[in-house]
Amino acid sequence: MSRKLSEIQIIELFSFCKKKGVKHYDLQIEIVDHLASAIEQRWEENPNLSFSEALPSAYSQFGIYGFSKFQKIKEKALRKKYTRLQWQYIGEFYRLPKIIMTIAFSLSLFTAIRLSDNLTRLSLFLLGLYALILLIYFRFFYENKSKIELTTCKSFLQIDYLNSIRGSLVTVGFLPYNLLIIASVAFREFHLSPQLIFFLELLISFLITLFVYILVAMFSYIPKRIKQDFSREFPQFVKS
Amino acid sequence: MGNNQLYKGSLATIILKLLGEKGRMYGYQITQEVKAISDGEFVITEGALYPMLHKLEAQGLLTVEIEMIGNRMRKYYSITNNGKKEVVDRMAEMEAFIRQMQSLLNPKIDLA
Repeated sequence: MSRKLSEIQIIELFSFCKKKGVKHYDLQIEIVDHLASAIEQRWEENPNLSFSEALPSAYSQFGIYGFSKFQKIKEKALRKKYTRLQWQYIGEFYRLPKIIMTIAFSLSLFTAIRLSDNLTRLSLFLLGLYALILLIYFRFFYENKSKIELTTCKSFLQIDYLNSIRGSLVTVGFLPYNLLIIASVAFREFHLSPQLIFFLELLISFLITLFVYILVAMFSYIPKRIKQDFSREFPQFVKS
Repeated sequence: MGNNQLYKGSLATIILKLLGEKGRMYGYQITQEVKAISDGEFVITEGALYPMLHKLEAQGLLTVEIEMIGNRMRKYYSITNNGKKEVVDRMAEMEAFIRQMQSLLNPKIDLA
């Protein structure tokens, strides 16, 4: 019977990770399993080796940088993964059959801009409508859909990332309306030809539609995806 | 003693190929398997392996499962359908590269 690590030694490995600067539990799991496997193999070769002798040699395999690069690269990888999924999701709106909806949405916005005699007033109206929708969404839907309730107080990289997305709403959320306001000022201040205004208004309508999809992807689809992925990986830590 | 510099650029291909053949594996197992296959010539350092696994997972080429093994959790990686396609492309690239290297370093005289 080969020698295995005890429960207490596993806990010691977790605190070893923490001491070496790996704070997130999702990263610790993998490192602990690796160190434990390496230590157990050393015990197979030399059963009399103590835990405190085997650990440094297992750790040394991680090279002179130890675990220091792990967190940065994992954070970058997470960001990349969800950015990729986000654009994939948005891209679907620009393919059949969803593109019909996209064009319809853009053209109704375009018609609204054309018909309104005061673009600033229209922007403010849309802004109010938008703020209201946002408020209702966050008040009643967001928490249910994407909030992850944990059964533990451990910290996870994925959850930190989810929270950082939420924090960026204020800065990203109002971008499309800034665009509209800038346009309304520009149309008033500069004397542009009617054809150019027509073209610019059409362009702005499509851009705002794209922005709205980006917002939907960032604040609705991606948080849901993170919750799904997290619940699949760590069902034991999610309150159901 | 193998020259690890030569292997470095191929780490992603090696990992994908291995997972394509063996099904799911965990990090430590990958290091041991590569060591065994290459008769100890090629040693993947842990500092390089995990960042690469995380990158491949982010690209959607690998997927992960976490399981309880004895008293600890273990993270298993397996290849996705996209990953399988990627292996085919990367292997073709690698083979072409090896052929070019061979003809460059060891040109055959064409007698025909």
